[in-house]
Formats: sequence, structure tokens, C-alpha cells
Amino acid sequence: MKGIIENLIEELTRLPGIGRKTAQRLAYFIVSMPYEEAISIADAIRDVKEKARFCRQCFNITDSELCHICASPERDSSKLCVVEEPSNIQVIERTGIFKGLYHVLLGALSPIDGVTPERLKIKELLDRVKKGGIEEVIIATNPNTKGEMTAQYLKDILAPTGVKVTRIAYGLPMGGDIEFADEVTMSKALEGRRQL
Amino acid sequence: MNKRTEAIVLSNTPLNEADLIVTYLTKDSGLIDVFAKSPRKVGSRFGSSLEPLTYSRIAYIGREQSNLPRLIQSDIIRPFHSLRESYRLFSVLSEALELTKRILPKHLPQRGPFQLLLSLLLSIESGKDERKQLIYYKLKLLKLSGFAPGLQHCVRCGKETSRFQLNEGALLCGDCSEGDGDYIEIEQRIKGLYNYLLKIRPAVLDRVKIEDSSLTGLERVINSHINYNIIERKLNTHEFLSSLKRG
Repeated sequence: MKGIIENLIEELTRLPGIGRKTAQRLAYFIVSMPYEEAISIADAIRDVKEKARFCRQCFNITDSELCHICASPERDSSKLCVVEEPSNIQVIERTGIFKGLYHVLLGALSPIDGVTPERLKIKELLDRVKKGGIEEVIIATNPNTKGEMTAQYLKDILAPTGVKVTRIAYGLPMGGDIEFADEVTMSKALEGRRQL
Repeated sequence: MNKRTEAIVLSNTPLNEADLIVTYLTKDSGLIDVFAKSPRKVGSRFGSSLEPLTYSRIAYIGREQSNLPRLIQSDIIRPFHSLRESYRLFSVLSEALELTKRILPKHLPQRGPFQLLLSLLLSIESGKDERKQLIYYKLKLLKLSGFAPGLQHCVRCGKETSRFQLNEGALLCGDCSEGDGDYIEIEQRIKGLYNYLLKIRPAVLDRVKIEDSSLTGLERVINSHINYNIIERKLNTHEFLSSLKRG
């Protein structure tokens, strides 16, 4: 029979990016933690597994029917930011710039992987826009082939609704060096230049 | 072992937090999968060079036959970015990428498929009719991989026939076919077109004018043969294209 430490190490290696050595370090750290802190981690994991579900409006992860963003009266409901995954919302929220609402597609179109429009929350997006009240849809899918393809598809299907559709800018990452930019990134940065 | 070659990205699959497994069709080692460390992070040295269709000069380490050699360098030769900018065009090209990935064996050094794919991408980028180019690509790929059916006469008795027996992947006259297996009738002009296209080089294709109805007939034969005899399940890209048509 496996020991309790060995069992914890094995369980921790199920997490992405956690190899055996890291799992071992984490396991011994958990052993040395105060009881309350360790149990607090365990409770948080149990809570998220028991209570997490998708927001009925935007498909963000929440523990109630509407997520805290959709439920907030302070958000600007005329602007809708479309992202691929719930985790993308946190990144945009950290900027503190965007005050509108979100819509999570739960993936991106991919012909080779068989991810068709029906498999994403695209119909739900269209329904939201058709209901009215949204003036701008900002497409913040990833700047790669799948994300770009999804953005173009959304632009086409949203066109008949008359809503303004915008795409987040492309370009060079802050702190980077032009010397190391590839042709596509550089050409996108030039195309998206703005007057100072 | 450190290996350098030219390659075209067929697909990439996320792995862990920020890594990718990239499937390449290479000039010198055929179809390979390589592991790329952290290309999904902003500011990665790989930049956009691991996006599908990108033609690059790559270097990787690790034994070629091992499961996942590691990508250490990728310099873009031609990005083919314009082919990814239209989702309709990229969807059509995805059929070629998926078929290549599903049909070719891994690690088989063979230059033909690489040159064929490069020629397809260059032709479509220069504005040539993508439907004709794609059919030609599929035909030639079948030939290079040994899957092209002979469409001249009955494979058993040599008699003239228009009956393409799907389960045999060959022409089989009514007398020679056993049972009631699925078959399709092929018009003489489609047989002629098929045999002609198999013979010509890509440069000649540009001068060949093909009617839409002939392309449709040829597409039907090739797709039926691929679905029936070569791949175990339908191409994902076909499902995707049907989904786009449904709107």
C-alpha cells in the first residue's frame, strides 16, 4: 500500500506543468504548512468542483446563475468582449481598462480538429447581439490561425446585425526587441500603426 | 543528434501550459512531430513561425525516430500568411493539410509530398483556382503514397468498364465484381481527366482548362475512394466545410 506522502505526490503530478520533483516539493511543503492553510486549499478545490458552472449569459465560470461581471450594474452593457476561454477574462480584467461585458466562446474554430461553429457558443453570441443594447463587439480571440479564423467568421455572421465589430490590436510585445520580431508580427505591427 | 531541414507546418497541438506539438512535412525526413517549448508565450522566440502553412528552415535535436524531438530553431522562409487571412480559403487548404497528415507515414524520407505541398501553396498564393489545385494535390498525393487507384480498365479481366468498386478501390466490371458492394459509375471523360492529371507536372496544370462538372465528378471519385479505403474516419475538415455551408 502506498504511503500518504507518496499518494499526495502522485495526485499532484496530475496537474499540468507539475512533474514528479515539483510534486514532491509541494507535498513536503503541504506537510509543513499550518493545518488551517492546507485545509483551506483542499476546501477551495472541493468548492470549485462542487459549485463551478458556466454563467448562463456569458459562459464565464461562476458559482451562481450569473457571473459577478454579468450581474454588476456598473458594467457598460453596450460593449461586449468576445474571448476563447474563461481564463482570458482574468487577463483582460487585470488591465482595469475594459468595463464592458464578456462572452466566452469556449474554444476557437479549427477545421483540422473538427471544431465547427456549432461546437462553440457562437449561436448564443448572435442571440445576445440580436436582443439589442450592444453597440460594439470587441473580438479578443488569440492572435493565431484559429483565433483569427474565428474572428473573421464572427465578423461575417455579425455583419447583418449592424453592430460595430472591432478586433484587438496586433503587434510587438512590450519589453521586446524589434530585431527578434518575425515577418508576420512585424507586418501586423506596421499595419496597425497609429499617429502620435 | 542535431538535424536541419526545410519544413511546412501542417498543424500544431497545445501541450501543457504554453508548449506545442508541431506536425511538419519536412523536405528530408517526411512527416514528423516535434516538441516546441513555450511558443504560446508572448515574446516567444518562435514568434508566428509555428502557425499552419508556414514554410520555415528548422532545426531540432533528439533522435529522429524517438517520439518527440525538440525544436530549437525556426526561421520563416515564406509565411503564407495571406492564405490564413481568409477563413474560407484556410478551411479549404486544411483539407490538404489533414489528408497529408492522415495519409503519409511518419519519418519516411520522401521529397515528393513536400515539393507537392509547397507547389500547392505557392500556386494558391499567386491567385490560381484553388479547387483545381486541391484536386490535383489530392490525386498526386495518392499516387506518391501508393494509394491512387488505376482507372483504365477492369483490374481482373482487363475489359473496358465504368464501374468503380469502392470496397476494392479499383475498376471492376459487372462480371468480375463479387456480391453487391458499393460502386460508382465513372464517365469516360472523368477517367480520362484522372489519368491525364496523374501524368502532368504542376506547371502544366495552369494551362489545363477543366469544366466545373468534371471537377465535381473527379472530386466525387477521389473523396469516395479516400473515405472508403484509406482513412478510418471521415476528414474533420469535411465536417467543418459542411458546417460552413449549412451556415
